[in-house]
Amino acid sequence: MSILECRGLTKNYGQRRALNRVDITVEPGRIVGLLGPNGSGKSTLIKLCNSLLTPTAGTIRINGLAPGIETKSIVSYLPDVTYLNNWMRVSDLLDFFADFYTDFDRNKALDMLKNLRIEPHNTLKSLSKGNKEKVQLILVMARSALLYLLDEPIGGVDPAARDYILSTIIKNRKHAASVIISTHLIYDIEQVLDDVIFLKEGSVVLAETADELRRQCGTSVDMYFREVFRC
Amino acid sequence: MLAKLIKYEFKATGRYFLPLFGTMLAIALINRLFQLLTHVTRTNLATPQAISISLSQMLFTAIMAVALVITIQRFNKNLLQNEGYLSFTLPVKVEHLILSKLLTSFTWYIANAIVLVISMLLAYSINMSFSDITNFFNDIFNLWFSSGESFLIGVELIIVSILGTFSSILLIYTCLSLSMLVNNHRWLLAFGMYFAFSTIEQLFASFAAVSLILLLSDSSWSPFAISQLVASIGIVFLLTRCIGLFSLTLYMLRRRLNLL
Repeated sequence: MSILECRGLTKNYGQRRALNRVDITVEPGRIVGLLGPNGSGKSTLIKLCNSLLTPTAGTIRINGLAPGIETKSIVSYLPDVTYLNNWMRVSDLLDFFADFYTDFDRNKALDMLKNLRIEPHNTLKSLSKGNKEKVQLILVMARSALLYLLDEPIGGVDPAARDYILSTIIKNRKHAASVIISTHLIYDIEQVLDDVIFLKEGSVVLAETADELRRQCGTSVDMYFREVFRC
Repeated sequence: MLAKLIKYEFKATGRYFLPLFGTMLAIALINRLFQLLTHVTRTNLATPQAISISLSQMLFTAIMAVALVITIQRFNKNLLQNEGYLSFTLPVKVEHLILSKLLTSFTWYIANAIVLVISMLLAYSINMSFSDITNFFNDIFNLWFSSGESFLIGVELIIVSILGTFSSILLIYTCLSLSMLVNNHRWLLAFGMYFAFSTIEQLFASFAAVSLILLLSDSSWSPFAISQLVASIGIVFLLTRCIGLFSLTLYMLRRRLNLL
């Protein structure tokens, strides 16, 4: 069974169409790059999968289920905004995630915090924007989810931390877990991608394995992206 | 999961209320101390006493204002702004998200009232013995249980107070949720709707009250029967209002969620 399946997925914001009859299938164990310029519909697609938005038309199935409480238990979502309470300590957030997600591994989170030199007793308020994003990513990746939906996971962190974050994403998922990474920093993530999906003005313009795309085009995914989306 | 949500609501809101409650009780104790000194030494401590009384009155007003602001802020920040990305991706029912906030706010309003009563007793019971206070509460209970009619009226008053508080909080939630229909000037829309809704409701309630008075003025109904009719109408109205507002808030959060 596919871990994610979208059929005819359409989302309108008033008169503006953000997603236009999108068909996507993601198999278990794949790392998928959801690539496209700003405003192409990447975040809208991810929000729909998290039931943060209601589709105008079409269906979404996550592990065979429509988005709801059951799918929230198996999806680990990293939004492109900081959603953490500033007054909480990092350790409070670990308690919070452990309380609500049965698949949250506290020791794994503590280990990652230590590697990124973030003290658990610090309040979020005292952390820099980049460190807050790292904490958020650690919380998301310390879960043993079946599907990780990461919206711009490396956008706000320094290049030195990007490699650690990417290796964290790869190392910390279960074998059968899939990861969808939405970004326009393709150069940094290309090495880890199994599949790529190009979104342009709300429509899928390409869905291919990264190796096959490189073979067909004779260039990197990053270079091909620049060609397709040249201004 | 509802219990866990409520636990984190209390953690988030308690850090504002508990220090305020502590300060309120401390000022009440200071008031009591001034009263004791005046009583024992027969000296005139009118000025410090007046300052202390004013402080406690200001603090009580502040607590009520804080309760209102926190009711608005917790719902708005935690569900309609960035924190909503976490709240709505927790494996919990949306109705539980609303209920956790509603029940927590309600509890703080009750706590406010209790702290106020304790503060007043602390500050102004200098000439009363402990038995005077217990007798006072005993009298209230005796009056309440003195007859079936007074008991029923007491129960109805409690139900109306509870439903009235719930529906007041829910009206705030509904107006905030409806403000998601626009992307700009959400506060303006929420306040506008709150004002419009309250005004229309006041007009409707006044009209209903006048009609009822006119209808019953010539009837042979006893005062108790009239009180029961008014209480029944009030309870049914408030219950309907609570259910309607809760359903509308739920619909907005489930189907029209539009996080900023």
